[in-house]
Amino acid sequence: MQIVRRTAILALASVELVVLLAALTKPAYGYVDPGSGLLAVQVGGSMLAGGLFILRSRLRRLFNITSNGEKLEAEKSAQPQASK
Amino acid sequence: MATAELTLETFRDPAGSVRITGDRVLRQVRPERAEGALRFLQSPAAREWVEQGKLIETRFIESQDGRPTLEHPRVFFPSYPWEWTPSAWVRAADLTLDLCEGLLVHGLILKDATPLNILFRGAQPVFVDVLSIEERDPASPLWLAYGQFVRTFLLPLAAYLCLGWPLGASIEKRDGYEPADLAPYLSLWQRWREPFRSLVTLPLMLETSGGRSAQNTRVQQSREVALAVVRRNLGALRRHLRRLEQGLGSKQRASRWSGYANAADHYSADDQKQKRQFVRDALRAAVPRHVLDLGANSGVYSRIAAECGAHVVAWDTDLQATEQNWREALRLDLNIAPLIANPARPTPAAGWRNAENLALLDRSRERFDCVMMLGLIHHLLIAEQIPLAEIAALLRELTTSWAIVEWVPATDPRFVDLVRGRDELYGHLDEAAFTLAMETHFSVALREALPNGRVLFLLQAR
Repeated sequence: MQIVRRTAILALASVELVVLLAALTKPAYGYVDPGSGLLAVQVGGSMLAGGLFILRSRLRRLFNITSNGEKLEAEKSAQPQASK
Repeated sequence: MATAELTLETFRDPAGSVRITGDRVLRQVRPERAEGALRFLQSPAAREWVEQGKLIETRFIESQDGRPTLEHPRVFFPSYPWEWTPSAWVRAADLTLDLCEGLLVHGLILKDATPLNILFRGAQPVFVDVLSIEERDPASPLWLAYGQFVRTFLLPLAAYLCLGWPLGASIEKRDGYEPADLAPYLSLWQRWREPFRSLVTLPLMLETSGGRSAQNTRVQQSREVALAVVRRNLGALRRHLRRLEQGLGSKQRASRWSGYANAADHYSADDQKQKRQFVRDALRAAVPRHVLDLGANSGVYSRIAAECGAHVVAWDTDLQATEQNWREALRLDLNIAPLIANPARPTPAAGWRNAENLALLDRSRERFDCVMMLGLIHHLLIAEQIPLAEIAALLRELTTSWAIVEWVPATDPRFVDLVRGRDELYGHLDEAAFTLAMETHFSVALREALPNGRVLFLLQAR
């Protein structure tokens, strides 16, 4: 059982190493787009953040929570006064 | 002698160009490319920024060809990032992010983000490149100047902090460092730790070739989400900046000159007191408006000049001492601009045809009505091997009226240290030789000998 576990860990570590090396290996082109890496980081981060933002607002809507709870309470408390 | 009437003209921005002639700063604008900037500059928000001293004042004037022309006041002494202290860099980066964030609510954004958009009035940064303001695509979550902010602010600061690369080297890189510039010098540990993980390693892994990155700029989201994401992106840059600032704070260490004012053993307390009083008296007699403090160290005499009402520019070669001077100027809200600059090896002109960034002396000639040179002359004479006549000529080029100079005799322990036994070469330098050299350009208005043998002069230009 222990041998199986060790083999599995070794296999996983090898796969991780191969993936890491593949990711780090860069083709030896003399020219790459200057700034393309920083742009890609911003695009990736923006898409992730945008996705999370949408997910959060959908969850809030699902549970009937507004993003500005205080404002909602203020509006609720203001309504009866307005009707007087 | 060159005059102060130099002309400087910018040409990179398709939205307009600035022409600086003498004390006039005129900006020609192509309105079709600068609608956002022109709208913002006439808004109450812009006026508020101007009142806070964060944005340069702008006046709309009539132009003959019908194109809008803007006039700005000339910032007294323009400096470049390669002359700034690390804290000044941080302050300039903060102002860029502040302005960019502030513009978002007006549907605007900055189209570029470089320290060259900022000048300093004293120790306070002011944003001067008003045509950097443009309409923002409301559906885009990207700040297109994000990469430039990283290259021109964050990577030079990170390289200075972690690799010891001087910020002065930024004179060689108009658009800052690429991640690939730093990567070979980072250890594996540094590569996978912040700030380099986000600023160097990941961008380097994601670099593409063949112009594919242009497609990435067309990311579209709903307006609400896009605005929230841009704010988040700016927040991420701000967090990197804060982390670097903390690192700079912990990196503060004593340098060769940073403790000089408190540890100058060749000065007794009475000598110090008498010297400060002489400088104060000389400044009261001269009543200068613009003072250049050469070899300012941590700014003891710069502060005296500023307290006497002068605008002070303070040069020193020691980064830590200049940093102390800058922090004190900011803390005490004094009109002092401390710069890392060397009168013996002044910053050269830079940029396209050597005409984009002026040389240090071209910005300085006849700009000051008083130059102070205290405790510096022996370094110029011996360490830099500059003859007395040359020093006198430089002083006269820099000041229109006055100079406050400290003569250091050959018997002074610091003079002896620098001579290191080469008495034959320098032993003949005495006060008579000094006054003879100075009298070509100046007359002596005040003279006072200190008990330690040093002599202070107030010189008036002929």
